[in-house]
Amino acid sequence: MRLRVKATGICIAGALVGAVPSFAQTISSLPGISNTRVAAQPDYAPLGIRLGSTMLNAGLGLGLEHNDNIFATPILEQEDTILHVLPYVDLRSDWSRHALNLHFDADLAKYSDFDSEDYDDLRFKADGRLDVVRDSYLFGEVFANDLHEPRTSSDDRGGVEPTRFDFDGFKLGYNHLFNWLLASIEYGLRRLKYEDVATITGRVINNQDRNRDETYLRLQLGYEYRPGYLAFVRYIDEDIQYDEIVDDFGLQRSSNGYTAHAGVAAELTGVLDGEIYLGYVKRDYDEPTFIPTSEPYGGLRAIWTPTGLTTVNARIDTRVEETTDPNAAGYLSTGYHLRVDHELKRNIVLKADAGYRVDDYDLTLDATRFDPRREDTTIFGLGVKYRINRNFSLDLDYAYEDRDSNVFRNEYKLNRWLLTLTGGI
Amino acid sequence: MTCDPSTWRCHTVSPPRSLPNARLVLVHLLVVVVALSLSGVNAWAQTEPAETAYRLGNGDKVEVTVFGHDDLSGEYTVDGAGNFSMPLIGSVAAKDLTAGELEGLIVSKLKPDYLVNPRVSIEVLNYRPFYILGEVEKPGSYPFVDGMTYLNAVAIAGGFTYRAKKSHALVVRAGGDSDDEARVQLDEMVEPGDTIRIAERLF
Repeated sequence: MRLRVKATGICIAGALVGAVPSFAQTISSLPGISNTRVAAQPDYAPLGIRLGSTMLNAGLGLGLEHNDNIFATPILEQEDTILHVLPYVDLRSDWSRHALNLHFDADLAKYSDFDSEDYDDLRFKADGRLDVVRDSYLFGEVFANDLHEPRTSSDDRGGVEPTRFDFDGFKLGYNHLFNWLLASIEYGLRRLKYEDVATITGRVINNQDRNRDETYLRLQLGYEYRPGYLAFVRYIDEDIQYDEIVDDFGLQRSSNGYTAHAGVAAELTGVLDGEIYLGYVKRDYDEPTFIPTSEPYGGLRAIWTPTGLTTVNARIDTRVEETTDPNAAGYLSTGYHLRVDHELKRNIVLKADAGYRVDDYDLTLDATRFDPRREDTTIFGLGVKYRINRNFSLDLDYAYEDRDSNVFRNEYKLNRWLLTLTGGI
Repeated sequence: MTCDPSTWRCHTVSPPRSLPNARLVLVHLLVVVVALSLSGVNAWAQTEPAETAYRLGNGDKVEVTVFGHDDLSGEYTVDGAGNFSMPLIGSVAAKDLTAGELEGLIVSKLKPDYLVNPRVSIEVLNYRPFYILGEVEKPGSYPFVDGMTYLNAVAIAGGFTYRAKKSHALVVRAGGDSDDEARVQLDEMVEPGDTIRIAERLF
């Protein structure tokens, strides 16, 4: 199989600009189905509704979650039961050339005891492709999200309710194939706008100093030097501009920099598919007291299907994240993640995943004065998905998270159980 | 010429009065033919070992040829009761008989009431189909082909699905109970009427 089209979709998580809102703690990132055959099981896939030359799929999920540490605190944990309402609508074009897709989903959460924690997350995305010639096309995406910052976020400041923020943006790019050569250019803008939140004492936490625009320009070259093997290089120029020149601590957090890496993507015998890369990340800050970041890094992504019924996903990625910590410019987050999905029956899928992430805040001017903040987060999850029929499915998931930090208040342990019934067409 | 040993007198004995030569030849020929036909039937029956010979069953189609009698010859299908009907002799119970045994049965029914010396031959035209279900791409019934293995049967049915257990097959023989499911290797021979099931693997 030719890699070219796949290469353009290769995850660039290792090189993204910082502070991509972490959805790891949201309902959508509990162990779920990915890259397994059951996702494509025709006998259990909703048929959808044909609207002209587009297909409409829509549905509603009802989830019941139990969380034994909803505030992610090291002591005095509080537990609660949360009802999730999860509607979604998906409209996909069915054209021979070009494509236009629309997607909307939401997570409306109601806490049983601590209703101040209630939130309504809304996500909207439109993406499209304009074919120029075969294997060469323009692509674009627009998205708008109204989200909440989970309590497990390292930037949570302990307000009486979760911090809400808007995460909007777009990207535009062009992929071009010429024989065995792939070239790609992409420009993207992401806008983050936070709302203030009150503390229990009545003081208002000013989050306006976190508002920012993140822009990037990505250039990619790939060469399929032999069938199934693609060598690639990527260069991503990044620029982060905060609305306010200085934050509440008088620090100029705007920055710019680049990430560059080279690697190989391969598809081996149809059983193993993946890529590995090594690169370098550099970031310069407007704040003179911040040390510019210069770090080598590596990454890996692999999908292995040893038996045809089992899929193993492995990922290692590194990214530079923004922070509100006054003693750090940002942090380098390196994540290791392994996930196994097994199709026990055509309508029963077992899921397990494990992950480990290191957040290293060693990006400050005077590291000798402070013990650089460092956090290690371990996650572990189990789940089972039972497809009742084409239109209904039942998911039972369990997740365990454990964050260790040299800053005691940032530590937590929590267990989450989630039972979700989803119906859709 | 004969001689009397006591008198040593010989005389020529006149031969008895004989049948014309053509008739004699015809009689001799008839005797030889009858003898040969009887021995041929017996010989044919004895060259087919009963334990490996195919035994007819419901749905099999046979061609019966009665030499010199086109009105009795034809193609017949064994019905659900294991019988088929022929002119003159009516219902013939063919189930569980080999082709040779069926020949003998038909001969015994035709002779001596209808034919003096019937010459019957049987040819199996179509065997019962086999049935295959479970983890194959196209479950269903397919024509039996002599000498096919269970792996051949899977190939005819479109091949294994990705969930198939490929180490063995489960078979119920024709006329058997679903509880009599036997486990067979894929290189073993299929028999007409087999119901083959390819199991699903969990891991």
